[in-house]
Amino acid sequence: MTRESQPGLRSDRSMAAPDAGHGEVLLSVQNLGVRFPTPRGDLQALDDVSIDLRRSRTLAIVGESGSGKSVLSRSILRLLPSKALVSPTARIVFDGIDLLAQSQAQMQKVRGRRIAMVFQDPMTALNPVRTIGSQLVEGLRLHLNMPSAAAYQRGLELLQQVGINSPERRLSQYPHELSGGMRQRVVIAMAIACQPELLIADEPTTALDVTVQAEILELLQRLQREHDMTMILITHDLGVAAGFADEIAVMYAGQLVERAVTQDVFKTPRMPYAAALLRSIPRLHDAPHAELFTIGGRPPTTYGDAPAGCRYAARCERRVARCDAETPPIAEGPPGHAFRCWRPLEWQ
Amino acid sequence: MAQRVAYVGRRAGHLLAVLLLLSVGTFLMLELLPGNLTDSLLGDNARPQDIALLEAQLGLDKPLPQRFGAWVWNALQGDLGRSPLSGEAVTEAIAHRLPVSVQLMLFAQILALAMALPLGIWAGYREGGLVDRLVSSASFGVLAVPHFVLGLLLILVLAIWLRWFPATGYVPFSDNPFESIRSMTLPSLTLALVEAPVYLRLLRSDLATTLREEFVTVARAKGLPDWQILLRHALRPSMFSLITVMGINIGHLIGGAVIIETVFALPGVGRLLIEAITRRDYLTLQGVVLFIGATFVVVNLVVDALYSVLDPRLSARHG
Amino acid sequence: MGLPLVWLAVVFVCAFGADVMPFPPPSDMDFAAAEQGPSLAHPLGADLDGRDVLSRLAHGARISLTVSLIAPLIGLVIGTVLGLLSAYYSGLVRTGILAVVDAMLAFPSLVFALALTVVLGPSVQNVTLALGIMSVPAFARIARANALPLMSREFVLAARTAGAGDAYIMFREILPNMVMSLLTYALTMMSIMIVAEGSLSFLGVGVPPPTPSWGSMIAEGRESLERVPHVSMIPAAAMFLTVLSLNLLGDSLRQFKSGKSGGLS
Repeated sequence: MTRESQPGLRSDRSMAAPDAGHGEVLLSVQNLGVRFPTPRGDLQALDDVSIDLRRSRTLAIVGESGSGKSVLSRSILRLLPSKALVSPTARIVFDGIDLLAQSQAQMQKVRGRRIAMVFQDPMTALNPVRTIGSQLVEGLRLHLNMPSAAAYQRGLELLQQVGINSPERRLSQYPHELSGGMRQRVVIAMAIACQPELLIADEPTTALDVTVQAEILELLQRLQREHDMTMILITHDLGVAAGFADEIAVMYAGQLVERAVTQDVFKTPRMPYAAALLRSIPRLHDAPHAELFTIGGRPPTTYGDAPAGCRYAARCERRVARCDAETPPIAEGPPGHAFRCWRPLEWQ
Repeated sequence: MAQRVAYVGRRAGHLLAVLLLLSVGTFLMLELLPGNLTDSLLGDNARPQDIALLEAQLGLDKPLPQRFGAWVWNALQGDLGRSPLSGEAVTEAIAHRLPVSVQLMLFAQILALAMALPLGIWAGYREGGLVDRLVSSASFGVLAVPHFVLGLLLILVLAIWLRWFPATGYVPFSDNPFESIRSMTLPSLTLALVEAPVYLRLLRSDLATTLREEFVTVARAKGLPDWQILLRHALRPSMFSLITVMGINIGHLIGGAVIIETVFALPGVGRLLIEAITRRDYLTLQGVVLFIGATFVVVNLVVDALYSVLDPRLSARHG
Repeated sequence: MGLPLVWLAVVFVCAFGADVMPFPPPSDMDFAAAEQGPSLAHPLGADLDGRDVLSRLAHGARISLTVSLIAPLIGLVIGTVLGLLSAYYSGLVRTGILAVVDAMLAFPSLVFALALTVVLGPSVQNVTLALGIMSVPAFARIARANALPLMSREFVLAARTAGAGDAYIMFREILPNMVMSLLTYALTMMSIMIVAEGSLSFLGVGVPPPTPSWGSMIAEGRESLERVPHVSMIPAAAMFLTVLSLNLLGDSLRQFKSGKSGGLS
């Protein structure tokens, strides 16, 4: 059974020439700010974040915990808790539609169908009291109106695509009967079921064993190629980003601080925080027992309006007076390479 | 499957022990405490030889373990003896009263669920919202009303003032289904109003907790509409406390709806129990206690089996 | 929060000061005033036999309060000991206690209390005793549920290593950590007891006449519910308000307790 003959699946993109659609911006986040009201004041989770992502590209969003990367990914699908406050000037444009202006009903048509998400912890991402099969085919029946039998058949194919053997048995099993790696494969299968254009993977390997991590990442890469998806990968691990992404965006304390093609971020980082992150990756050729480089201090948490000045200043080795006085804007230096710093690193 | 059977088997063993204990306990208690069957039958001024004769007739002169053994043996064969006071076979007495109690219990549970399920789901879904707060306050108020007062209030308003329902009396279902339901409405409603707030609170809090789980966010990310998420994903894992309490209530209602049966003059098992106690009809009492205990055991087993259906992890964990 | 406490204080004062207050004696029958609503002579009206409702209400409060204070105490003490023992020891002690507790819980509690009262003979003491025993399984369960997680805590291990005996560990180390939780439940039990005593009196197996009890007052007014609802409804209202106040108190105690140990929000 070829893909064209199955109802509801798009086959046109796989037939198109590889460069068609390249260069076209699929997702454009503009001036996104998110605050959470708390008894201590509004917690600033995201501050004026703007990112563009072109079709078929992979963007890695890298940052420490609390940098806002998860909030960013959930904002795209409007999955934030109801008390979250989004700045009124923000826009998230996906294929010409402003997602922030859509109603819940309209968003439900986008979620799972055009934009899908892979979550971090496969144990909690799957409903423990329902079978794998029922959770897998849910999206198919909802978005593509597939009858049961066809949906289960497709479910089997999906499980095979993500590398699960004896898929017939798995369909009637419960999540607790599968290993962590297999569960994550199921979560990925659920995400790609309706062939979304954009796949957001929020720390997909963090909760897994190291040996399984590589497999899952390879799986994601393969699926992206096969289905020609655009991907956003959220991670705190620069190493993972390196092997995977075309472009990297570095976040710190709710702000975007550096954005460039992967190679540029690794070879010529401009913002000192990005450089420090790179230095803290232990390398094979380091001297044995060498001290692990860590960045001293912790990222600030801001309640209420943020004070002026660069948020990284307190931990930065290149800090000068201006860094504490004025907030640096995000600006493009060399073409395609943006950063937020008054005293960026220089390269020849 | 084998795991499930083993789990249920172990629970059954525990519950049977409880049943045995209950029977032995009742038997002993009735032996040791003052108040005598013979007094009830013959009065206080009976002559000693009459008492002795009666005791021999009733088999009361044999030693305790032998009597208990004989009773258990008969009970296993379905014979709970014959009440010396009314002459009625205990099993028949129970059988006559049982349909009333069962009807009351079923009707009450249905009404309670009809009230608690939709309100509980909505309150848990919109935690802290208007419905939630209204319902919480109302539940709190209703829970503070003693059930016999509630029954009297309902009689006052719905039977006396509005004349929509009869105040007391029982019409068997087989005689006239419509009248039967009508005569059962007030007592069932009273019971339902007592139980619904508890069910509601349990459901609401469990549901609110479940909705915070990650897999609910995942379901939203898949584009599922809210009602589907509520009913298909969130409801099942949230039912445990509710089902536990429901099981306890059902088990208790068979003999425990004494107040309601008294207020509304229903000839149920509860009334049978009270009569047996006040008339010192210990044989009947023993039989009814065994019956209530057995019902409790059965209901508990059903609830346990339901657990393992609702949560497939359970049979695995306890296996 | 003030209102429930005020009401409870009023009940308390009336209950224990009933004899010194300017009420007509509760068994005084004034047939001329029988079945009348509130008036100057009888501020809350009179019942079927012309007895003053307010006076009977105050005397009945004494019963309700006595029972609801003492019975939970009985249950608390016995239940806590049983619960502690079943958590601390394993084997026969634990199985035995659990089996007995479960057997008691299997039986509808009111019927159990009723049976005890009938068998022992109706009086205030027996009612209190019966209700107290009725509450033992619930307290035992709660005590056990609270004690179990504490058993594996380090301070227990430390005490044992230091050579402390079993009784010492149970009552001086574990018990103090459970007190708050148990007392909160005791408050809930108090309101349950008021209703239970009322139920028993309503059924006619509670405190015997002529002592007035809220439950028996409600029962007395039952036949004439249509004509003179106040005879039943006034004691019913009193019972409702008392139970509500106790519940509100228990609720705010629970919130206070969880707020304290819940950390920052």
